[in-house]
Amino acid sequence: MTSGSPTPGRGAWRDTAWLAVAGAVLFVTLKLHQWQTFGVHAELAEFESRLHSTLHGGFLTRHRGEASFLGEHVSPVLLLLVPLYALLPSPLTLLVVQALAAAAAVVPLHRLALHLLERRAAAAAIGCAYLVSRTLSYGLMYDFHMEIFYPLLFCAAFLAFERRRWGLLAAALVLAALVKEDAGLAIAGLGVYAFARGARRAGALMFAGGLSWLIVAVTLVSPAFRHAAENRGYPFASYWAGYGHTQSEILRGMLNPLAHARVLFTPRKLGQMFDLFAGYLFLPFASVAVTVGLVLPGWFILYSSDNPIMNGPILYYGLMLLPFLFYATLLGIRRLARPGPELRAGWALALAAAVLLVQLGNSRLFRQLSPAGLRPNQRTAAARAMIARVPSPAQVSAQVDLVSHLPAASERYFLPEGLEGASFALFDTVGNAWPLSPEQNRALLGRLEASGTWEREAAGSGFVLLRRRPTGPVPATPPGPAPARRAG
Amino acid sequence: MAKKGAPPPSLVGLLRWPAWALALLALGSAFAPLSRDFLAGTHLALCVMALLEAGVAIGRGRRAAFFTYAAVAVLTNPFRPFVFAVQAWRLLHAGIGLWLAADHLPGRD
Repeated sequence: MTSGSPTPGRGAWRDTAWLAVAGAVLFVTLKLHQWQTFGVHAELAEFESRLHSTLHGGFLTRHRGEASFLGEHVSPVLLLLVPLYALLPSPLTLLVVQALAAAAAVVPLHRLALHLLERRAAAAAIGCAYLVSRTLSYGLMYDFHMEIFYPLLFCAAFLAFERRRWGLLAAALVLAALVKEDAGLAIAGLGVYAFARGARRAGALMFAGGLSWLIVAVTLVSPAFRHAAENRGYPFASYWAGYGHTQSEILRGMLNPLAHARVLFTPRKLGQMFDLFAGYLFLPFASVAVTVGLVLPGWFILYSSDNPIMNGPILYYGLMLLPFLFYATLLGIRRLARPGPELRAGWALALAAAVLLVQLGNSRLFRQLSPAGLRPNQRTAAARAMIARVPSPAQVSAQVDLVSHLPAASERYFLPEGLEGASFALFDTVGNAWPLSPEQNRALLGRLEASGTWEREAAGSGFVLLRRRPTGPVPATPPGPAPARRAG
Repeated sequence: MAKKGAPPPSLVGLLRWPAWALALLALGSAFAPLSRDFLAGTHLALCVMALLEAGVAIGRGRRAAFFTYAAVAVLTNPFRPFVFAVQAWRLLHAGIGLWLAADHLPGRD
Protein backbone atom coordinates (compact mmCIF):
# COMPACT_ATOMS: atom_id res chain seq x y z
CA MET A 1 0.00 0.00 0.00
CA THR A 2 1.30 3.43 -0.83
CA SER A 3 1.42 6.32 1.58
CA GLY A 4 -1.32 7.96 -0.43
CA SER A 5 -3.76 5.08 -0.20
CA PRO A 6 -7.18 6.23 1.00
CA THR A 7 -7.97 2.95 2.77
CA PRO A 8 -5.22 2.15 5.25
CA GLY A 9 -4.99 -1.56 5.94
CA ARG A 10 -2.31 -4.01 7.04
CA GLY A 11 0.51 -1.67 6.13
CA ALA A 12 -1.01 0.92 8.43
CA TRP A 13 -1.00 -1.57 11.29
CA ARG A 14 2.69 -2.09 10.61
CA ASP A 15 3.17 1.69 10.97
CA THR A 16 1.29 1.60 14.28
CA ALA A 17 3.42 -1.27 15.53
CA TRP A 18 6.67 0.45 14.48
CA LEU A 19 5.70 3.66 16.22
CA ALA A 20 4.74 1.83 19.41
CA VAL A 21 7.88 -0.30 19.49
CA ALA A 22 10.16 2.67 18.70
CA GLY A 23 8.47 4.73 21.40
CA ALA A 24 8.67 1.93 23.96
CA VAL A 25 12.36 1.22 23.31
CA LEU A 26 13.25 4.92 23.37
CA PHE A 27 11.28 5.73 26.50
CA VAL A 28 12.36 2.66 28.48
CA THR A 29 15.97 3.46 27.57
CA LEU A 30 15.61 7.05 28.75
CA LYS A 31 13.96 6.03 32.03
CA LEU A 32 16.53 3.32 32.78
CA HIS A 33 19.35 5.76 32.04
CA GLN A 34 17.70 8.28 34.33
CA TRP A 35 17.60 5.64 37.07
CA GLN A 36 21.17 4.46 36.53
CA THR A 37 22.53 7.99 36.70
CA PHE A 38 20.60 8.88 39.86
CA GLY A 39 18.43 11.35 37.95
CA VAL A 40 15.17 10.21 39.57
CA HIS A 41 13.95 12.29 42.48
CA ALA A 42 11.97 11.46 45.61
CA GLU A 43 8.47 11.10 44.22
CA LEU A 44 9.28 7.69 42.77
CA ALA A 45 10.08 6.52 46.30
CA GLU A 46 6.81 8.00 47.53
CA PHE A 47 4.72 6.15 44.94
CA GLU A 48 6.65 2.93 45.48
CA SER A 49 6.11 3.22 49.24
CA ARG A 50 2.38 3.66 48.64
CA LEU A 51 2.22 0.42 46.67
CA HIS A 52 4.51 -1.34 49.14
CA SER A 53 2.37 -0.24 52.08
CA THR A 54 -0.77 -1.51 50.34
CA LEU A 55 0.82 -4.95 50.16
CA HIS A 56 1.75 -4.76 53.83
CA GLY A 57 -1.45 -3.73 55.57
CA GLY A 58 -1.61 -0.04 54.66
CA PHE A 59 -3.70 1.63 51.98
CA LEU A 60 -1.67 3.80 49.62
CA THR A 61 0.23 5.41 52.48
CA ARG A 62 3.70 6.83 52.13
CA HIS A 63 4.72 6.61 55.80
CA ARG A 64 3.40 4.84 58.87
CA GLY A 65 0.46 6.69 60.39
CA GLU A 66 0.02 8.93 57.37
CA ALA A 67 -3.32 9.34 55.59
CA SER A 68 -3.93 7.52 52.33
CA PHE A 69 -2.88 9.16 49.06
CA LEU A 70 -6.56 9.17 48.12
CA GLY A 71 -6.94 12.01 50.62
CA GLU A 72 -4.59 14.02 48.42
CA HIS A 73 -5.71 12.92 44.96
CA VAL A 74 -8.51 10.57 43.99
CA SER A 75 -6.31 8.18 42.01
CA PRO A 76 -7.61 4.64 42.54
CA VAL A 77 -5.87 3.70 39.29
CA LEU A 78 -2.79 3.16 41.47
CA LEU A 79 -4.50 0.12 42.96
CA LEU A 80 -4.37 -1.50 39.52
CA LEU A 81 -0.57 -1.35 39.77
CA VAL A 82 -0.49 -3.21 43.10
CA PRO A 83 -0.67 -6.75 41.59
CA LEU A 84 2.11 -5.90 39.13
CA TYR A 85 4.22 -4.45 41.92
CA ALA A 86 3.57 -7.57 44.01
CA LEU A 87 5.04 -9.64 41.17
CA LEU A 88 7.95 -7.27 40.49
CA PRO A 89 8.59 -5.30 43.69
CA SER A 90 11.06 -2.75 42.43
CA PRO A 91 11.05 0.97 41.63
CA LEU A 92 12.03 -0.03 38.12
CA THR A 93 8.56 -1.55 37.72
CA LEU A 94 7.04 1.92 38.03
CA LEU A 95 9.62 3.50 35.73
CA VAL A 96 9.02 0.89 33.01
CA VAL A 97 5.23 1.21 33.42
CA GLN A 98 5.66 4.97 33.02
CA ALA A 99 7.65 4.53 29.80
CA LEU A 100 5.33 1.89 28.33
CA ALA A 101 2.17 3.86 29.15
CA ALA A 102 3.62 6.95 27.44
CA ALA A 103 4.57 4.94 24.35
CA ALA A 104 1.33 2.92 24.21
CA ALA A 105 -0.71 6.08 23.64
CA VAL A 106 0.71 6.30 20.14
CA VAL A 107 -1.35 3.22 19.16
CA PRO A 108 -4.82 4.79 19.56
CA LEU A 109 -3.48 8.19 18.44
CA HIS A 110 -2.07 6.77 15.21
CA ARG A 111 -5.30 4.83 14.53
CA LEU A 112 -7.25 8.02 15.23
CA ALA A 113 -5.02 9.96 12.81
CA LEU A 114 -5.58 7.28 10.16
CA HIS A 115 -9.31 7.50 10.74
CA LEU A 116 -9.40 11.29 10.45
CA LEU A 117 -6.67 12.00 7.88
CA GLU A 118 -7.13 8.84 5.81
CA ARG A 119 -3.48 8.77 4.76
CA ARG A 120 -0.64 6.71 6.21
CA ALA A 121 2.09 9.34 5.82
CA ALA A 122 0.04 12.04 7.53
CA ALA A 123 -0.95 9.68 10.35
CA ALA A 124 2.65 8.57 10.83
CA ALA A 125 3.74 12.21 11.04
CA ILE A 126 1.23 12.83 13.83
CA GLY A 127 2.34 9.66 15.64
CA CYS A 128 5.97 10.82 15.47
CA ALA A 129 4.98 14.33 16.58
CA TYR A 130 3.43 12.83 19.73
CA LEU A 131 6.50 10.73 20.52
CA VAL A 132 8.88 13.71 20.25
CA SER A 133 6.61 16.27 21.90
CA ARG A 134 8.08 18.35 24.69
CA THR A 135 5.00 18.08 26.92
CA LEU A 136 5.15 14.28 26.81
CA SER A 137 8.86 14.37 27.56
CA TYR A 138 8.30 16.51 30.65
CA GLY A 139 5.75 14.02 31.96
CA LEU A 140 7.80 10.98 30.99
CA MET A 141 10.99 12.20 32.60
CA TYR A 142 9.28 13.17 35.84
CA ASP A 143 9.94 10.49 38.49
CA PHE A 144 6.55 8.79 38.34
CA HIS A 145 3.06 10.23 38.35
CA MET A 146 -0.27 8.68 37.49
CA GLU A 147 -1.11 11.33 34.86
CA ILE A 148 1.12 9.38 32.48
CA PHE A 149 -1.95 7.19 31.81
CA TYR A 150 -3.98 10.14 30.48
CA PRO A 151 -2.63 10.16 26.88
CA LEU A 152 -3.31 6.44 26.44
CA LEU A 153 -6.78 6.48 27.99
CA PHE A 154 -8.01 9.69 26.39
CA CYS A 155 -6.65 8.77 22.93
CA ALA A 156 -8.43 5.42 23.27
CA ALA A 157 -11.60 7.31 24.21
CA PHE A 158 -11.30 9.64 21.18
CA LEU A 159 -10.80 6.70 18.84
CA ALA A 160 -13.78 4.91 20.37
CA PHE A 161 -15.90 8.04 19.98
CA GLU A 162 -14.94 8.52 16.34
CA ARG A 163 -15.81 4.88 15.64
CA ARG A 164 -18.94 5.06 17.81
CA ARG A 165 -17.71 2.18 19.98
CA TRP A 166 -19.65 3.22 23.08
CA GLY A 167 -18.56 0.35 25.34
CA LEU A 168 -14.88 1.04 24.68
CA LEU A 169 -15.48 4.77 25.13
CA ALA A 170 -17.12 4.20 28.52
CA ALA A 171 -14.32 1.87 29.66
CA ALA A 172 -11.59 4.33 28.62
CA LEU A 173 -13.33 7.27 30.31
CA VAL A 174 -14.00 5.36 33.54
CA LEU A 175 -10.32 4.42 33.72
CA ALA A 176 -9.32 8.03 32.95
CA ALA A 177 -11.59 9.22 35.76
CA LEU A 178 -9.74 6.85 38.12
CA VAL A 179 -6.41 8.51 37.29
CA LYS A 180 -7.11 11.82 39.03
CA GLU A 181 -10.07 13.95 39.97
CA ASP A 182 -9.34 16.62 37.32
CA ALA A 183 -10.21 14.12 34.58
CA GLY A 184 -13.86 14.87 35.39
CA LEU A 185 -13.61 18.34 33.86
CA ALA A 186 -11.94 17.02 30.71
CA ILE A 187 -14.62 14.32 30.34
CA ALA A 188 -17.33 16.96 30.73
CA GLY A 189 -15.65 18.98 27.96
CA LEU A 190 -15.53 15.92 25.72
CA GLY A 191 -19.24 15.57 26.39
CA VAL A 192 -19.81 19.12 25.13
CA TYR A 193 -17.88 18.31 21.96
CA ALA A 194 -19.71 15.00 21.44
CA PHE A 195 -23.03 16.81 21.90
CA ALA A 196 -22.03 19.40 19.29
CA ARG A 197 -21.04 16.56 16.93
CA GLY A 198 -24.57 15.14 17.18
CA ALA A 199 -24.00 12.39 19.75
CA ARG A 200 -26.54 14.06 22.03
CA ARG A 201 -27.18 11.26 24.50
CA ALA A 202 -23.55 10.20 24.88
CA GLY A 203 -22.47 13.84 25.09
CA ALA A 204 -24.98 14.66 27.82
CA LEU A 205 -23.97 11.54 29.75
CA MET A 206 -20.27 12.41 29.51
CA PHE A 207 -20.92 16.01 30.56
CA ALA A 208 -23.07 15.05 33.55
CA GLY A 209 -20.89 12.11 34.52
CA GLY A 210 -17.65 14.09 34.31
CA LEU A 211 -18.88 17.02 36.38
CA SER A 212 -20.56 14.73 38.93
CA TRP A 213 -17.36 12.73 39.37
CA LEU A 214 -15.32 15.91 39.85
CA ILE A 215 -17.69 17.16 42.56
CA VAL A 216 -18.00 13.77 44.30
CA ALA A 217 -14.24 13.17 44.19
CA VAL A 218 -13.29 16.58 45.60
CA THR A 219 -16.08 16.99 48.17
CA LEU A 220 -16.72 13.41 49.33
CA VAL A 221 -14.09 10.86 48.36
CA SER A 222 -10.92 12.83 49.01
CA PRO A 223 -12.01 14.25 52.42
CA ALA A 224 -13.08 10.76 53.55
CA PHE A 225 -9.46 9.60 53.28
CA ARG A 226 -7.96 12.49 55.19
CA HIS A 227 -7.32 12.29 58.90
CA ALA A 228 -9.98 13.99 61.05
CA ALA A 229 -7.41 16.45 62.38
CA GLU A 230 -6.43 17.59 58.90
CA ASN A 231 -8.00 20.42 57.04
CA ARG A 232 -11.00 18.93 55.18
CA GLY A 233 -10.67 21.30 52.23
CA TYR A 234 -9.10 20.39 48.89
CA PRO A 235 -5.37 20.31 49.68
CA PHE A 236 -4.37 22.03 46.43
CA ALA A 237 -6.95 24.83 46.59
CA SER A 238 -4.14 27.34 47.15
CA TYR A 239 -3.07 26.86 43.52
CA TRP A 240 -6.17 28.84 42.57
CA ALA A 241 -5.52 31.61 45.10
CA GLY A 242 -6.11 34.19 42.38
CA TYR A 243 -9.83 33.62 42.85
CA GLY A 244 -9.91 33.64 46.65
CA HIS A 245 -8.27 32.33 49.79
CA THR A 246 -10.67 29.59 50.86
CA GLN A 247 -12.31 26.84 48.85
CA SER A 248 -15.70 28.58 48.93
CA GLU A 249 -14.13 31.95 48.03
CA ILE A 250 -12.42 30.33 45.06
CA LEU A 251 -15.68 28.80 43.84
CA ARG A 252 -17.46 32.14 44.23
CA GLY A 253 -14.59 33.92 42.52
CA MET A 254 -14.92 31.61 39.53
CA LEU A 255 -18.43 32.95 38.97
CA ASN A 256 -16.95 36.41 38.41
CA PRO A 257 -15.93 37.02 34.78
CA LEU A 258 -13.65 39.88 35.80
CA ALA A 259 -11.75 37.56 38.11
CA HIS A 260 -11.19 35.20 35.17
CA ALA A 261 -9.91 38.04 33.01
CA ARG A 262 -7.54 39.12 35.79
CA VAL A 263 -6.25 35.61 36.58
CA LEU A 264 -6.14 33.99 33.15
CA PHE A 265 -4.81 36.72 30.91
CA THR A 266 -1.70 38.02 32.58
CA PRO A 267 1.18 38.88 30.20
CA ARG A 268 3.25 35.95 31.51
CA LYS A 269 0.45 33.43 31.08
CA LEU A 270 -0.44 34.75 27.61
CA GLY A 271 3.16 34.16 26.55
CA GLN A 272 3.11 30.64 27.97
CA MET A 273 -0.19 29.89 26.21
CA PHE A 274 1.33 31.11 22.96
CA ASP A 275 4.30 28.78 23.41
CA LEU A 276 2.02 25.84 24.13
CA PHE A 277 -0.36 26.29 21.20
CA ALA A 278 2.30 27.39 18.70
CA GLY A 279 3.64 23.81 18.85
CA TYR A 280 0.37 22.72 17.24
CA LEU A 281 0.41 25.68 14.81
CA PHE A 282 -2.81 26.86 16.49
CA LEU A 283 -4.71 24.17 14.57
CA PRO A 284 -6.76 23.20 17.67
CA PHE A 285 -8.60 26.51 17.24
CA ALA A 286 -9.86 25.73 13.73
CA SER A 287 -13.38 25.11 15.03
CA VAL A 288 -15.42 26.57 17.87
CA ALA A 289 -16.82 23.25 19.12
CA VAL A 290 -13.34 21.74 19.27
CA THR A 291 -11.95 24.79 21.07
CA VAL A 292 -14.75 24.87 23.63
CA GLY A 293 -15.11 21.14 24.26
CA LEU A 294 -11.59 19.81 23.85
CA VAL A 295 -9.18 22.65 24.54
CA LEU A 296 -10.92 24.91 27.04
CA PRO A 297 -11.28 22.52 30.04
CA GLY A 298 -7.61 21.47 30.17
CA TRP A 299 -6.49 24.99 29.34
CA PHE A 300 -8.61 26.36 32.18
CA ILE A 301 -7.16 23.93 34.74
CA LEU A 302 -3.61 24.93 33.77
CA TYR A 303 -3.97 28.69 33.52
CA SER A 304 -6.61 29.44 36.17
CA SER A 305 -3.94 28.31 38.60
CA ASP A 306 -1.18 30.65 39.70
CA ASN A 307 1.26 27.75 40.07
CA PRO A 308 3.99 28.58 37.51
CA ILE A 309 4.78 24.89 37.06
CA MET A 310 1.20 24.29 35.91
CA ASN A 311 1.32 27.32 33.64
CA GLY A 312 4.49 25.96 31.98
CA PRO A 313 3.11 23.36 31.70
CA ILE A 314 6.06 21.34 32.90
CA LEU A 315 6.47 18.10 34.87
CA TYR A 316 3.32 16.01 34.48
CA TYR A 317 0.87 18.91 34.40
CA GLY A 318 0.52 19.02 30.63
CA LEU A 319 -0.29 15.32 30.30
CA MET A 320 -4.06 15.73 30.51
CA LEU A 321 -4.24 18.47 27.88
CA LEU A 322 -1.73 16.72 25.59
CA PRO A 323 -4.07 14.08 24.06
CA PHE A 324 -6.80 16.71 23.69
CA LEU A 325 -4.42 18.99 21.82
CA PHE A 326 -3.45 16.20 19.44
CA TYR A 327 -7.10 15.26 18.86
CA ALA A 328 -7.99 18.92 18.32
CA THR A 329 -5.02 19.29 15.95
CA LEU A 330 -6.21 16.30 13.92
CA LEU A 331 -9.69 17.78 13.74
CA GLY A 332 -8.20 21.14 12.73
CA ILE A 333 -6.16 19.53 9.94
CA ARG A 334 -9.22 17.63 8.75
CA ARG A 335 -11.28 20.80 8.71
CA LEU A 336 -8.69 22.78 6.73
CA ALA A 337 -7.89 19.91 4.36
CA ARG A 338 -11.51 19.11 3.62
CA PRO A 339 -13.25 22.19 2.33
CA GLY A 340 -15.54 19.97 0.23
CA PRO A 341 -16.67 16.35 0.44
CA GLU A 342 -13.19 15.02 -0.45
CA LEU A 343 -10.14 15.23 1.79
CA ARG A 344 -7.21 16.93 0.05
CA ALA A 345 -4.40 14.50 0.81
CA GLY A 346 -1.65 17.00 0.04
CA TRP A 347 -3.02 19.52 2.48
CA ALA A 348 -3.46 16.96 5.22
CA LEU A 349 0.09 15.71 4.72
CA ALA A 350 1.55 19.22 4.58
CA LEU A 351 -0.14 20.28 7.82
CA ALA A 352 0.71 17.03 9.62
CA ALA A 353 4.33 17.31 8.47
CA ALA A 354 4.46 20.94 9.60
CA VAL A 355 3.21 19.94 13.07
CA LEU A 356 5.84 17.18 13.19
CA LEU A 357 8.65 19.55 12.20
CA VAL A 358 7.67 22.17 14.75
CA GLN A 359 7.35 19.53 17.49
CA LEU A 360 10.71 18.12 16.43
CA GLY A 361 12.34 21.53 16.65
CA ASN A 362 10.81 21.99 20.07
CA SER A 363 11.71 18.48 21.25
CA ARG A 364 13.96 17.65 24.20
CA LEU A 365 15.09 14.40 22.58
CA PHE A 366 18.15 15.89 20.87
CA ARG A 367 19.51 16.99 24.20
CA GLN A 368 18.52 13.74 25.92
CA LEU A 369 20.05 11.53 23.23
CA SER A 370 23.25 13.53 22.74
CA PRO A 371 26.48 11.87 23.94
CA ALA A 372 26.61 14.34 26.83
CA GLY A 373 23.00 13.56 27.75
CA LEU A 374 23.69 9.82 27.82
CA ARG A 375 27.01 10.14 29.66
CA PRO A 376 27.21 7.87 32.74
CA ASN A 377 27.34 9.42 36.17
CA GLN A 378 30.84 8.95 37.61
CA ARG A 379 29.56 9.01 41.19
CA THR A 380 27.07 6.17 40.80
CA ALA A 381 29.30 3.49 42.33
CA ALA A 382 30.07 5.68 45.33
CA ALA A 383 26.38 6.42 45.84
CA ARG A 384 25.48 2.72 45.69
CA ALA A 385 28.25 1.83 48.14
CA MET A 386 26.98 4.45 50.56
CA ILE A 387 23.37 3.25 50.26
CA ALA A 388 24.50 -0.35 50.86
CA ARG A 389 25.78 0.72 54.30
CA VAL A 390 22.25 1.67 55.42
CA PRO A 391 20.52 -1.29 57.09
CA SER A 392 16.93 -2.06 56.15
CA PRO A 393 14.37 -1.48 57.46
CA ALA A 394 15.33 1.82 59.07
CA GLN A 395 14.08 5.38 59.02
CA VAL A 396 16.33 7.29 56.67
CA SER A 397 16.35 10.89 55.53
CA ALA A 398 18.36 11.09 52.32
CA GLN A 399 19.08 13.62 49.64
CA VAL A 400 16.31 13.92 47.08
CA ASP A 401 18.05 11.98 44.28
CA LEU A 402 19.15 9.14 46.57
CA VAL A 403 15.84 8.37 48.31
CA SER A 404 14.36 6.17 45.58
CA HIS A 405 17.43 3.92 45.66
CA LEU A 406 16.87 3.02 49.32
CA PRO A 407 14.82 -0.15 49.95
CA ALA A 408 11.04 0.30 50.08
CA ALA A 409 10.88 -1.51 53.41
CA SER A 410 12.58 1.50 55.01
CA GLU A 411 10.81 4.66 56.10
CA ARG A 412 12.22 6.96 53.44
CA TYR A 413 12.19 10.76 53.61
CA PHE A 414 14.03 13.31 51.56
CA LEU A 415 16.17 15.82 53.43
CA PRO A 416 15.40 17.79 55.50
CA GLU A 417 12.11 15.91 56.12
CA GLY A 418 11.96 13.04 58.61
CA LEU A 419 15.22 13.85 60.41
CA GLU A 420 13.60 13.95 63.84
CA GLY A 421 12.89 10.22 63.81
CA ALA A 422 15.60 9.07 61.44
CA SER A 423 18.39 6.68 62.36
CA PHE A 424 20.42 7.58 59.29
CA ALA A 425 20.89 10.72 57.22
CA LEU A 426 22.49 10.51 53.80
CA PHE A 427 23.82 13.76 52.35
CA ASP A 428 25.12 14.56 48.90
CA THR A 429 27.16 17.69 49.43
CA VAL A 430 27.87 18.34 45.74
CA GLY A 431 24.71 17.07 44.03
CA ASN A 432 21.05 18.07 43.93
CA ALA A 433 20.00 19.32 47.38
CA TRP A 434 16.42 20.35 46.55
CA PRO A 435 14.51 21.82 48.35
CA LEU A 436 17.59 23.19 50.12
CA SER A 437 20.24 25.31 48.47
CA PRO A 438 23.73 23.73 48.43
CA GLU A 439 24.79 26.14 51.17
CA GLN A 440 21.75 25.34 53.33
CA ASN A 441 22.40 21.66 52.79
CA ARG A 442 26.02 21.87 53.91
CA ALA A 443 25.01 24.05 56.87
CA LEU A 444 22.43 21.45 57.91
CA LEU A 445 25.07 18.71 57.72
CA GLY A 446 27.40 20.85 59.84
CA ARG A 447 24.71 21.49 62.45
CA LEU A 448 23.84 17.82 62.74
CA GLU A 449 27.47 16.80 63.14
CA ALA A 450 28.05 19.51 65.74
CA SER A 451 24.90 18.58 67.68
CA GLY A 452 26.48 15.51 69.22
CA THR A 453 23.51 13.31 68.37
CA TRP A 454 24.87 12.17 65.03
CA GLU A 455 28.15 10.55 64.08
CA ARG A 456 29.75 10.20 60.70
CA GLU A 457 29.39 6.61 59.50
CA ALA A 458 31.06 7.01 56.11
CA ALA A 459 32.01 9.66 53.58
CA GLY A 460 33.35 9.78 50.05
CA SER A 461 32.86 11.37 46.61
CA GLY A 462 30.80 14.13 48.18
CA PHE A 463 28.43 11.77 50.02
CA VAL A 464 28.22 11.77 53.81
CA LEU A 465 26.33 9.12 55.77
CA LEU A 466 25.42 10.05 59.34
CA ARG A 467 24.17 7.60 61.97
CA ARG A 468 22.27 8.69 65.02
CA ARG A 469 24.29 7.97 68.18
CA PRO A 470 22.61 5.12 70.09
CA THR A 471 22.17 7.02 73.36
CA GLY A 472 21.81 10.57 72.09
CA PRO A 473 18.68 12.61 72.70
CA VAL A 474 16.18 12.95 69.88
CA PRO A 475 17.01 16.30 68.29
CA ALA A 476 14.50 18.95 67.47
CA THR A 477 13.84 19.47 63.80
CA PRO A 478 16.78 21.54 62.60
CA PRO A 479 16.03 25.09 61.55
CA GLY A 480 15.86 25.73 57.84
CA PRO A 481 13.33 26.37 55.13
CA ALA A 482 10.11 24.41 55.26
CA PRO A 483 10.40 21.70 52.64
CA ALA A 484 8.27 22.65 49.69
CA ARG A 485 5.88 19.79 49.03
CA ARG A 486 6.06 18.67 45.49
CA ALA A 487 2.91 19.55 43.63
CA GLY A 488 0.39 16.79 43.74
CA MET B 1 22.37 13.96 41.00
CA ALA B 2 24.07 16.83 39.27
CA LYS B 3 26.23 16.01 36.30
CA LYS B 4 29.50 17.85 35.89
CA GLY B 5 30.56 19.70 32.77
CA ALA B 6 28.82 21.82 30.17
CA PRO B 7 25.17 21.17 29.38
CA PRO B 8 24.62 18.80 26.47
CA PRO B 9 24.15 20.41 23.07
CA SER B 10 20.65 21.21 21.93
CA LEU B 11 19.14 21.10 18.47
CA VAL B 12 20.32 24.70 18.01
CA GLY B 13 23.92 23.52 17.79
CA LEU B 14 23.04 20.74 15.36
CA LEU B 15 21.11 23.13 13.12
CA ARG B 16 23.85 25.76 12.94
CA TRP B 17 25.81 24.29 10.01
CA PRO B 18 22.78 23.44 7.83
CA ALA B 19 21.36 26.88 8.66
CA TRP B 20 24.54 28.62 7.50
CA ALA B 21 24.66 26.45 4.37
CA LEU B 22 21.07 27.36 3.57
CA ALA B 23 21.76 31.01 4.36
CA LEU B 24 24.63 30.94 1.88
CA LEU B 25 22.41 29.25 -0.69
CA ALA B 26 19.64 31.80 -0.19
CA LEU B 27 22.04 34.73 -0.39
CA GLY B 28 23.76 33.27 -3.45
CA SER B 29 20.44 32.63 -5.14
CA ALA B 30 19.70 36.34 -4.94
CA PHE B 31 22.42 36.83 -7.57
CA ALA B 32 21.94 33.64 -9.61
CA PRO B 33 19.54 32.62 -12.37
CA LEU B 34 16.42 31.25 -10.68
CA SER B 35 15.07 28.29 -12.61
CA ARG B 36 11.70 26.84 -11.59
CA ASP B 37 13.23 23.61 -10.24
CA PHE B 38 15.97 25.42 -8.34
CA LEU B 39 13.38 27.71 -6.78
CA ALA B 40 11.18 24.76 -5.75
CA GLY B 41 14.10 22.85 -4.22
CA THR B 42 15.42 25.87 -2.35
CA HIS B 43 11.96 26.66 -1.03
CA LEU B 44 11.39 23.11 0.18
CA ALA B 45 14.70 23.19 2.10
CA LEU B 46 13.96 26.65 3.51
CA CYS B 47 10.43 25.61 4.53
CA VAL B 48 11.62 22.50 6.42
CA MET B 49 14.39 24.48 8.12
CA ALA B 50 12.01 27.31 9.01
CA LEU B 51 9.52 24.91 10.63
CA LEU B 52 12.26 23.23 12.68
CA GLU B 53 13.61 26.62 13.70
CA ALA B 54 10.09 27.75 14.63
CA GLY B 55 9.87 24.80 17.02
CA VAL B 56 13.28 25.63 18.49
CA ALA B 57 12.19 29.26 18.90
CA ILE B 58 9.09 28.29 20.92
CA GLY B 59 11.15 26.07 23.20
CA ARG B 60 13.41 29.03 23.93
CA GLY B 61 10.55 31.49 24.41
CA ARG B 62 11.61 33.56 21.34
CA ARG B 63 8.18 34.52 20.08
CA ALA B 64 9.34 37.14 17.55
CA ALA B 65 11.71 34.56 16.07
CA PHE B 66 8.83 32.07 15.92
CA PHE B 67 6.79 34.54 13.89
CA THR B 68 9.71 35.22 11.56
CA TYR B 69 10.33 31.53 10.91
CA ALA B 70 6.60 30.87 10.54
CA ALA B 71 6.44 33.65 7.93
CA VAL B 72 9.40 32.11 6.08
CA ALA B 73 7.70 28.68 6.18
CA VAL B 74 4.48 30.13 4.77
CA LEU B 75 6.30 32.10 2.06
CA THR B 76 8.38 29.12 0.95
CA ASN B 77 5.76 26.40 1.37
CA PRO B 78 5.87 23.99 -1.57
CA PHE B 79 2.18 23.00 -1.39
CA ARG B 80 0.55 26.32 -2.30
CA PRO B 81 3.55 28.19 -3.71
CA PHE B 82 3.43 31.96 -3.83
CA VAL B 83 3.97 33.49 -7.24
CA PHE B 84 6.14 36.61 -7.18
CA ALA B 85 8.27 38.36 -9.75
CA VAL B 86 11.84 37.05 -9.86
CA GLN B 87 13.17 40.32 -8.45
CA ALA B 88 10.85 39.98 -5.47
CA TRP B 89 12.13 36.43 -4.81
CA ARG B 90 15.71 37.71 -4.99
CA LEU B 91 14.99 40.26 -2.27
CA LEU B 92 13.16 37.71 -0.15
CA HIS B 93 15.97 35.16 -0.50
CA ALA B 94 18.54 37.77 0.49
CA GLY B 95 16.47 38.72 3.54
CA ILE B 96 15.92 35.10 4.56
CA GLY B 97 19.60 34.32 4.10
CA LEU B 98 20.71 37.26 6.23
CA TRP B 99 18.20 36.35 8.96
CA LEU B 100 19.24 32.68 8.99
CA ALA B 101 22.93 33.55 9.21
CA ALA B 102 22.44 36.24 11.84
CA ASP B 103 20.20 34.03 13.97
CA HIS B 104 22.89 31.35 14.09
CA LEU B 105 25.86 33.49 15.00
CA PRO B 106 27.95 31.91 17.77
CA GLY B 107 27.04 33.02 21.27
CA ARG B 108 23.30 32.91 20.75
CA ASP B 109 22.90 29.50 22.45
